[in-house]
Amino acid sequence: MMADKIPDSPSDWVLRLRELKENKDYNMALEECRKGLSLFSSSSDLLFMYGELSISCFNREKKTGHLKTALTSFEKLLKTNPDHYMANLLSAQIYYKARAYVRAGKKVAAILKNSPKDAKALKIGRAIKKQLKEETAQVAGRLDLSDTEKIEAEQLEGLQEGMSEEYNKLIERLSCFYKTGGIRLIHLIDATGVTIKTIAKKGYVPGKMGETIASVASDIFRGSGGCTRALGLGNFQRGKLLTPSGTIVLVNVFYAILLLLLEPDADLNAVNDRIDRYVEELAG
Amino acid sequence: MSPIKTVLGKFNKKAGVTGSLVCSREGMLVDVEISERFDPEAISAYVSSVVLILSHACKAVEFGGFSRYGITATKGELVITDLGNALFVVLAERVPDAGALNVEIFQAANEIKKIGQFG
Repeated sequence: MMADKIPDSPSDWVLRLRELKENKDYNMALEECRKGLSLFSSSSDLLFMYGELSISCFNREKKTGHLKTALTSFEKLLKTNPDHYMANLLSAQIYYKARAYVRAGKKVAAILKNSPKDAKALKIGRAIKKQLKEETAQVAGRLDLSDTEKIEAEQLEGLQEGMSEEYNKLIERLSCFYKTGGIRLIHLIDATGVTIKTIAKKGYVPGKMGETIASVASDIFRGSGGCTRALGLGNFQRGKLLTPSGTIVLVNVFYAILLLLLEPDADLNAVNDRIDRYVEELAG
Repeated sequence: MSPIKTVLGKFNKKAGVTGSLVCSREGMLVDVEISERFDPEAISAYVSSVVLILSHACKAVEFGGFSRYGITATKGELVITDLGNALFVVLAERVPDAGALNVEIFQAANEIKKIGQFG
């Protein structure tokens, strides 16, 4: 994978970066991500990855400059995709820790606009309110990015780990689909198209499709999201692709994509009800 | 008024529908009945690019072609129905009874297919 060949698409860059990240080679990953961004400067995936990697570097080196970089990257991403859940959440956390409560509040509001019950956003929102009450008089003068310099390193430890916690929550809740008829395959993919979890129904062998489904889902998700935003329909929430061989359902689950592969004769209403329940449980 | 436009106009009166159009798979507009706040050329272009992704996706998972793709977004719905050589595109508000809308889309798509011989 780490051959000299230069990846020719943002998703290929993401795959390379994932590999480096898995090997905990964060600085190299950051360097490679910079190269990727020099070729695909507006790629949402690369901008998010750059922010995420910067946080990883901060957690290791405790240099607050990494957090500034992360924020700059997330802000750039949010300009084109203001509803990006993870970019809003991580930015809110960084701003909060930097005591930039108004900015943190704006990010929280952006999340709550689409997911009013989001537990993480509500928690930060409550913390912001409390802090603002205590520091109302001083807040106005302390909203500059430069405040990130004042962050105590240990405050942000665990920011990154929060993501795997979220992924575990997504996986645990999948049990609500186990008894739903007509589902062949359940697939969870992260925002960059990397598989988090695959569950195939007993007796079903995904074969070659199991390998390609993550990138397929990620492509459809990105294409559909770009389309709905451009047409003023807002953020992509759910997609249903009907084919004679079966139905593919894609669901935006905040920081990941849930894909369900259904039998052609599956009861779509029953599946929809389960999806609603799954999303509600995650938000609650 | 063209026969397709007549079908679209009739279809747009259904609850929740904000507009509809027929375009080629390459994004060329065939007929449209939609509010002025939307840019039909832009819709056709975006839909065409999504359909390209869907076609690749269906091929990759060995599903052949697709018959319909429905997107639910925070501010509305977009439904793309394959007519063969063309696409029937519907924009709608978030409707509580998606089943009823799907039936209407199915019927309108069949009417357009007969008129336009897109199959």
